Amino acid sequence: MKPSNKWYVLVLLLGLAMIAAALAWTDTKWSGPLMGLGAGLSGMAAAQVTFWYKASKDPDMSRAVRIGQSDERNIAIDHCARARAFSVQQALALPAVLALVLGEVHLWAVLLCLGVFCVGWAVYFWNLSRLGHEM
Amino acid sequence: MKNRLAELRRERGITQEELAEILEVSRQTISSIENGRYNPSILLAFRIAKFFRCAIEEVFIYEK
Repeated sequence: MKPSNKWYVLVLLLGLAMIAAALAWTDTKWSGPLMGLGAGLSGMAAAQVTFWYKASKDPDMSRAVRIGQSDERNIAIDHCARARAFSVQQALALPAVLALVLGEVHLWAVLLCLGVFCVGWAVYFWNLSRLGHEM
Repeated sequence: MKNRLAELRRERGITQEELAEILEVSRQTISSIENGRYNPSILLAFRIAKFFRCAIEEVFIYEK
C-alpha cells in the first residue's frame, strides 16, 4: 500500500522541523545528523507532494499515475524485486556482523546489525503466517 | 501459456495503448502478455476475454 499524501506532508513538516532544530543547536553533535536527515526527508516528501499536486491538476496524468500504481504487472515486478532484495540483504547481514566483530567495533553496533537481521526474518515469518491464513 | 491477444486486438483494429486504456492497465502489460513474457491474473484474463466477447480459453491456451 502506498503512503497517502497526508503522510508525505507530515514527513515534510518533520524534515523541516529537524532542519530548524539543527540550525538552533549548531554547537551540538546532533546538528549534523539532524540537518542531513531533515534535508533528506523534506526533499523526498517535497518531491512527492509536488508530484501529487501536479497530478491532481492534470486528469490525464492522474489517471496514468493511478493505472501505473494499480497495474498488476507493476505490482508483481515490485514484489519480486523486493523479495530478491530481502534475500540479498539477509545473506549480507551475517557477513556484515562478522566484519563488525572482527573490526572490533562497539558491541551496540554488532547487536544493532544482528537486531536488524532478526527483525527482517521476524517480519518475514509473521507475514508468512498471516498471509497463509488470509490467502 | 500461449495467447491470441495480439491476433484478437488486430482483428478489432485497436492499438496496445487503446486496449490498455480500456482495461486500465499499462501498455507494457499488454505488450508483455502478447509476447508471452507475463501471464495475467485470472481477473485480468477474464476482463480481456469479456472485452473480446469470447471464452477465456479462446484467448489463453494452456500448454504443458
